[in-house]
Amino acid sequence: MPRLTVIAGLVAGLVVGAAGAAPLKVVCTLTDLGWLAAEVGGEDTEVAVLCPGQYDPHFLPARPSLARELGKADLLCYNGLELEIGWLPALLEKARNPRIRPGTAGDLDCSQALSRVLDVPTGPVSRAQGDVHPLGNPHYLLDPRNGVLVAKLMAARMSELRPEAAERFQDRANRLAADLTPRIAAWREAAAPVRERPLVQYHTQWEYLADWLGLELLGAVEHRPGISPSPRHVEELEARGRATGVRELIAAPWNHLDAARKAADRMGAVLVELPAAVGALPEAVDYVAMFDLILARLLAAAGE
Amino acid sequence: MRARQCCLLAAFCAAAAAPVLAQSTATGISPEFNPAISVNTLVIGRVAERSTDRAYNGGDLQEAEVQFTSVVDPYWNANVVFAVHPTHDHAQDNAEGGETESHGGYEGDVEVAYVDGQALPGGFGLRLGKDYLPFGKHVPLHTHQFPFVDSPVAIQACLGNHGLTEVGVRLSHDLPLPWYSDLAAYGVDGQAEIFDGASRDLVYGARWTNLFDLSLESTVEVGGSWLEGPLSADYLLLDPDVTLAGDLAVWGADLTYKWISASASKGPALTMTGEVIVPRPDQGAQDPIGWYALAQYRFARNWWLGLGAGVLDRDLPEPAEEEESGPEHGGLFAWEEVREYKANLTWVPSEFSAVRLEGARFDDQIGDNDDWLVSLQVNVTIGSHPAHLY
Repeated sequence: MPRLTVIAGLVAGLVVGAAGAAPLKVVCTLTDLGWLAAEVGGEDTEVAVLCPGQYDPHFLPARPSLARELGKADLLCYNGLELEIGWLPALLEKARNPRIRPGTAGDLDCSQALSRVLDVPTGPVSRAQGDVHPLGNPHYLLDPRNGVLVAKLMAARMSELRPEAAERFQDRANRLAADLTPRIAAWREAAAPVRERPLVQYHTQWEYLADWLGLELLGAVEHRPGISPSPRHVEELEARGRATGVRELIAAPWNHLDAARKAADRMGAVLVELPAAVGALPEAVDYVAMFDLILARLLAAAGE
Repeated sequence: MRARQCCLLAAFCAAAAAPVLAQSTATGISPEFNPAISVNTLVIGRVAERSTDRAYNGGDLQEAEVQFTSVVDPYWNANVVFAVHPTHDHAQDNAEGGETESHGGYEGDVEVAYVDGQALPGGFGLRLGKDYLPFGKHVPLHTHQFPFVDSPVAIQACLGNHGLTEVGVRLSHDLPLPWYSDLAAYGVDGQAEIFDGASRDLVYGARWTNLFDLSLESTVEVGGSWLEGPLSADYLLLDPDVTLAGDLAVWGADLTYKWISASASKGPALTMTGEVIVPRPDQGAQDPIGWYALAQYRFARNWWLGLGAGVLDRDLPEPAEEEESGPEHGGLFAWEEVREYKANLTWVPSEFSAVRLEGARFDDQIGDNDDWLVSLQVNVTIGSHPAHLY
């Protein structure tokens, strides 16, 4: 299957629609979604991405030029679960595009594809818990099985908006699923040596990866998401890490790596920088390469 | 607070506090459609070197805003902000004794209440209702968004102490240029202190914003603003026995450079802004000009440093002999011509709170009224507050 290259967060399909039909203009908030949309949409779509892979998607600066991109969209695909709540509403207001207004066919919350959301709070939610997401952990695209589900949801919505290309959308989504499914099994099998090693994460964004690969996450340096860790918490984490033999602390490139490295040093572990999005590291050129790199780095840290 | 506003506020709060009821068909109460509600509170403590005005000495609630935001229907979004702040004229010079008379207390106002059209053809934007006028970079800011505790002197003197929030209509459009270019034009019923509120003439104006993406991390914004309306009788007057009539035209230009590192979330960031305001009243002008420049730098994850300077300048007549030592004053901005210098350090532990320590120096260019002002401000937001624009 041909794999599109995602560079600097901008993905563009060829403008050659069937029978000369105008391509569907799809704007995705994240590079992962942009790759999936381009795979499903193919030459029937033009795909643009708002948040470059190297940016923390929680805190993208809402530049007005991004609103202009949204103003041209026929379909907006976003992660949902309030991941983009800090910047997407402001951009949508500025874009003034009725085609992608919430509740319309052009508005696609990709989290609707999930069969299971992790870390949904069971008790009262308060900002005393930090930047907690009341609807659950939003980093579900770090489980490629969810990527397959999202691709199918995208195909259905694209088909609704461009019925004349519905068959092609469905075919591409099916081909993508057929390509990813054996890879998903192979990645999980390859992760066996890592399953024996408990990990510490910097920010609580690797739960879906851990759930899929069967990894043990001992805790997070940011014990309250988005809030700087207290010295007491780091001390407790250090003690637990040493007691359980933690050897790796995993973090995304946009996390505060100096703080992560210090925490890793204190518990006798190494910092493993993993791509948390397509384009987050130069080698993570697409969704498949991202998981290849995640597995390669975890296995290298484990000495495999 | 006025009774009608209190009733509105109570109605909103009651709706917000309604329990989730499964039988909304029968009750008519459906929390799903409640607006997003947030409250922002600014608490301030300050001390001035010379001024005796209570507003610049002691602790106070600088402002509390209650904001409601919601989708109205497929055609409109709505935003309503109720603001409570200290009574504006709570310190007045006692003419006979030269002492300050403090009244204290608070007053409320509907600061913002507008709807935005969402389905206009051609990508036009339409705003109806009460909102801040789009003049320059500082005027559209809510108080909790200010880069310093107070507005620049140039803004306060040229455009009024209490902001430019007016009722009217605004039409805007993203111009078809290679860069982001937004042109907004408006007509409002001018009630701000710089306008003659009794006049039947409208205030009208325009704002042109151009933003260039230099890279993924940096932008330059160039803006021009203009407004015109019936002049307040005492606008920028030196002589209290004179009253004015006619129109006031104000021109403005601004330049902003912004850089936000992608290397880490909440990593290094820098904003530099300069803005010049040129009012041209039909009468009593003395060719005033005001400007300010500021820089804000995030040097650590939760820490910002701010530096600013500003000027209000006019071609003033020679001061009378007896005024050379400067008039007694109760308020910091009773001066005719002033330079300001500011610096602050802000701790921002999360997006919902900030603590700011600020020092400001005001140099009166006429009399001996130079003053230091030190402020400590706590900024807290609770609830579901809409994201701010870039």
